[in-house]
Amino acid sequence: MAGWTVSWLDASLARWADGAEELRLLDAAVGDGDLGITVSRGVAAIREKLSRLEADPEPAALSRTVGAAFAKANPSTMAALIGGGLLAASRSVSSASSYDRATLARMLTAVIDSIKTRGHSTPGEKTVLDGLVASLVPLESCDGDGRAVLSAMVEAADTSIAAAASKQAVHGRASWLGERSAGHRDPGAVAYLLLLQAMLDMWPDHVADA
Amino acid sequence: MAHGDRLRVVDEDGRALVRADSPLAGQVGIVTGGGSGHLPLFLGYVGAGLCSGVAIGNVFSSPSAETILAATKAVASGQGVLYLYGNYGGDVLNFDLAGDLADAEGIATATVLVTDDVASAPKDRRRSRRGIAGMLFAFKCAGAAAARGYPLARVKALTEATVDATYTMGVGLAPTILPEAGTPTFSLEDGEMEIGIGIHGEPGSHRGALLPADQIAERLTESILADADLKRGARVAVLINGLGSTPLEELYIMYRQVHKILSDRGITVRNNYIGEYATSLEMAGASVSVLHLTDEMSDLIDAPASTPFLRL
Repeated sequence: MAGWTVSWLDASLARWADGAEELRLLDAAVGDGDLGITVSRGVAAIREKLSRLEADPEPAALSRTVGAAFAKANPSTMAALIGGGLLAASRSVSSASSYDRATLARMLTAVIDSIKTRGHSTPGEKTVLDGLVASLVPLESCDGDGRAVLSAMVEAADTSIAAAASKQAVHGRASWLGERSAGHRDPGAVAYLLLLQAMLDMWPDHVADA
Repeated sequence: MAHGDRLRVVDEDGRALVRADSPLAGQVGIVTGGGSGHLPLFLGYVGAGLCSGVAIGNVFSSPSAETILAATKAVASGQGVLYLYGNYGGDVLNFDLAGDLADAEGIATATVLVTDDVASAPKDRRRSRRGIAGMLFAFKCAGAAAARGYPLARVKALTEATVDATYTMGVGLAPTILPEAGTPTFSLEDGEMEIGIGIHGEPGSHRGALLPADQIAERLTESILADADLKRGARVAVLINGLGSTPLEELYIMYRQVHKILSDRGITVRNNYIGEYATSLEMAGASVSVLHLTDEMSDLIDAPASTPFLRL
């Protein structure tokens, strides 16, 4: 295994996949219940790629590896949107050599823009975008170390996703439920929230800042 | 595999196929694809002078990005790859993702969406129309341009110009039944027909009493002429396509009428294709496609093309 960035990402993904059953249940309530599989298969594929790395790659290379692995692991729409988003993130930081705050914000912005375009959706429509967009604000502006920023991102995403829960879904299978989709949190957005939480849980104490 | 000498399977599921002689040095690769259930579309268009590879999904469902990527890698010769397929949401998502994945592996791709179905969106939103039988013309021009060794940008531009000059109108007479769903894709009363129907049985623009083949041809052609800017002296290619269970006799009757209407307006039919070129399982119905030819397109259309399914 490579440097601390990859080790931390690997541990976070493992933790994330532990919550796959919760995601499956959440998705089964409003969709077809395949989100748990999307996450667990995607994580397995990414971790397999990470295990072959000898050093921490630059942001563009890491994002490309992760995005391609996630997209190929599943033929689902969610995997295509997230995988495509990570590949777009890779292209957006082709010259960056470190994982500084500005680079990460540029990557998250590229993910958001890609999902907006490909998914024909905008924030506020009860999709994964709600969590992504809300978490971008603290990433760009919050003071403090990596743990503090991640913590603020979790909080912002959680608040935004909870606020959207009362709405009716307009995208994906959940939209077929009409009024009955109201009251449920969007499964894709919750998946992102759980990923952020896992990254916070696994944050290595010896790292002062990132 | 029935045509092992001319086609090669390049993925584990047998859903990505390419010309057996791929990749062709110095040529842009052309990859198409979509759901199954439309034969000879899409598989039947892989061959000399047409597409170089194809990715196939389940019945009426998009192929996965990985299947598309497998076809892409197998046809890439260093000149880049053109994705050429019908404008449907699932297909666009997966082809775009495949393009990202190809890019990550150093293969340049470009995309042209076929949007020939006049009934699916008004003229001012032409690029959001669906892609149906008129795809044949795009395949021919793209394939001929690639075979001449044109670079990717030029193959793309010529193909786009072809799509923008292609107009198709269809009529449905009886639905198909999706094997997995077990129910008809739409329903019609006896003696009814649906004008402007999609190739998956999507609703058309108008439903009315069943008409003789001559009058159906007239309705479809008039819709096309209302949309296309075809002046006296224009030259066109015409395709009369059967959707699966329409007798060839009726297609020829329709062609006679289309030819007469166009000739009466001083429009020359330079090339014609009559038969089953894009089907919808066993759906009954037909479509008329018209390509408004430029000199360059005429040249490309005339180039020889053949596949295990078709000689064009």
